[in-house]
Amino acid sequence: MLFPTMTFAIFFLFVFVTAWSLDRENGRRKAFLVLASWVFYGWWDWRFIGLLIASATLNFLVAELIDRSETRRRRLWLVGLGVAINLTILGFFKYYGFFVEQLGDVLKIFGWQRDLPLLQVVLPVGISFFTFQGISYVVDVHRGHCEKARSLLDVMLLMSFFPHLVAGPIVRASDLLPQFAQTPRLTRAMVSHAMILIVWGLFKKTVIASELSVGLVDPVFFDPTAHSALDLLAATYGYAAQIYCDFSAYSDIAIGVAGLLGYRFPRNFDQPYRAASLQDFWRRWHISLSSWLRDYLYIPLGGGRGSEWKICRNLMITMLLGGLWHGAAWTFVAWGALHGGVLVFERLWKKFKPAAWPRLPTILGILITFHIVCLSWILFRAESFSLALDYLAGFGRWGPASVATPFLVSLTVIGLGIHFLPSRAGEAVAGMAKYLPSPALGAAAALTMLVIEAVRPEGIAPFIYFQF
Amino acid sequence: MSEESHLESPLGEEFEPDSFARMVAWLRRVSGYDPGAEDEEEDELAAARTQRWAGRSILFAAVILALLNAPSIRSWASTLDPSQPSEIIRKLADVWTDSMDQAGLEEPRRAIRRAYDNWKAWGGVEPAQTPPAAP
Repeated sequence: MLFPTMTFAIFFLFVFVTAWSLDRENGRRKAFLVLASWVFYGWWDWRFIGLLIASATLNFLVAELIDRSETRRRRLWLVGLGVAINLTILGFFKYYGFFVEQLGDVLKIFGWQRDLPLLQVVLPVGISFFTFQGISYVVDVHRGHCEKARSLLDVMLLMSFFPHLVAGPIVRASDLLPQFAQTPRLTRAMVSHAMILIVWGLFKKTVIASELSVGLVDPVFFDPTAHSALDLLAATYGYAAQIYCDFSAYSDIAIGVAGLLGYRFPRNFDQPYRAASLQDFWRRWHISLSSWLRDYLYIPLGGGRGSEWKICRNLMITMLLGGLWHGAAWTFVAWGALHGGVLVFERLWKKFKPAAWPRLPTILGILITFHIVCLSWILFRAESFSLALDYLAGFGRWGPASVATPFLVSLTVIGLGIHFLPSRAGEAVAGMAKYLPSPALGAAAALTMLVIEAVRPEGIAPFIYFQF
Repeated sequence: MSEESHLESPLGEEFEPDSFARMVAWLRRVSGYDPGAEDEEEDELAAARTQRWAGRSILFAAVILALLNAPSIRSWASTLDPSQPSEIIRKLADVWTDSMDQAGLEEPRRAIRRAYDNWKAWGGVEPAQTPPAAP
């Protein structure tokens, strides 16, 4: 069930009305939301509802045991067990085929070719997100950053809550569990901002991302050798705009939908292409993942402590695993390596740059960072290494543009230009919209959606991050 | 939200630049909604009022979309698996779309679409004919 569809609209209307009619019975309200989330998830494949239940139950039990443990050693052992369970689930469904294939290739090199047990494992939607949420729950209980959940129902809802279930944001237990303690209350600012986020997300996804995907990015990335440098350049910028508009749209709609049900999710994007360094980029792009990697991987590895070599090593490991998290393919690992390499370079540059050298102007920093990110998107989007290399080689092939029309270029400019809107424009508009009478707010939202409906292309492709 | 939240929520902020102050004052007068300095969440009655306001806003949006978005309903109905209920929805959507068309209420949508298509054909370059995205 995709957000920008009629099916989801009907589903959400039903959930909204029922959830608020249960506002005096928080337990039943949460149980209803869990059931609704299972229906939402089961729409793709009902078989994996069992996986969600099993994962939530295991995390609940491990956290209970951690809470009851009296010795530090036992707690450490239990948290290790919890993390291992989550990683085993993720590893089996997402990486089994990839690692068996790599193992086969390695054995072949040494002349020990074997028939390895290849399985056709179906990847459950959103598994990378809900397993990371499970890990953060057990680790946070262990660290004392959050109290253990009051009931299994809370953990079920934490991990299954449909707005963030399939593509984030990765909402931590310390953010969400306290909100489950009582029936949430709405404020006008929250409702008006939620509606603005939903409409804005629909525009970014169904108009900008869809048009760019169908008209420019997909054809060029499908066969880069058939296109000129101009097309390749336009598709590179087009993909930068598409992936931002696609993923930030999902986050906006998820935050908005959760907001209408009374729950607050963290911000996931903050105008990432305005970043003046790659470190800054990762504070603005997929913030819930980058902060997760920082808190549960980079810092446990040693973080910014120790020798320069160790810090650089920690950065590289974090980014390589961050790349692998996106998908079981070497292109994602290379994407992570490129980001890690540049982060290491930035760190060393900051530390060892001669003091007399001038500081890079911010605008130049933004341009350089944006182009490094664009270069890395080629690795991220290409189906294989050879296609990525074909793509890069094509920048030397001059000729007229065949797919980069003025319309698609202008749409790319709009998609990227969004970053130069005032950073809190949504909040400002919501600050006014909350004073509107309900018919006016409803009509404004509906009429904007009608305009979006009138221009958007037929059919909606799934969000890019669903595959992760 | 918890005070110790590790990340800020965009829904947790209220932001009113000075330039909007007059507009806000006008909207307050028009809507009759003027919360005091205290947080509106503190008041049980105010919370219930906000809930009703939110419900009505969504209801209005849903009704307007249902009335004026008949082609999308028809397009959605055509994707449903064949069954008696889906057949009824399809027929209703067809009748509703035709009625809207005859009443001229489809004209604004068509005008917007025409303007958008003109933009697509801007610079004399017709966009490549590509299949629609997978539903």
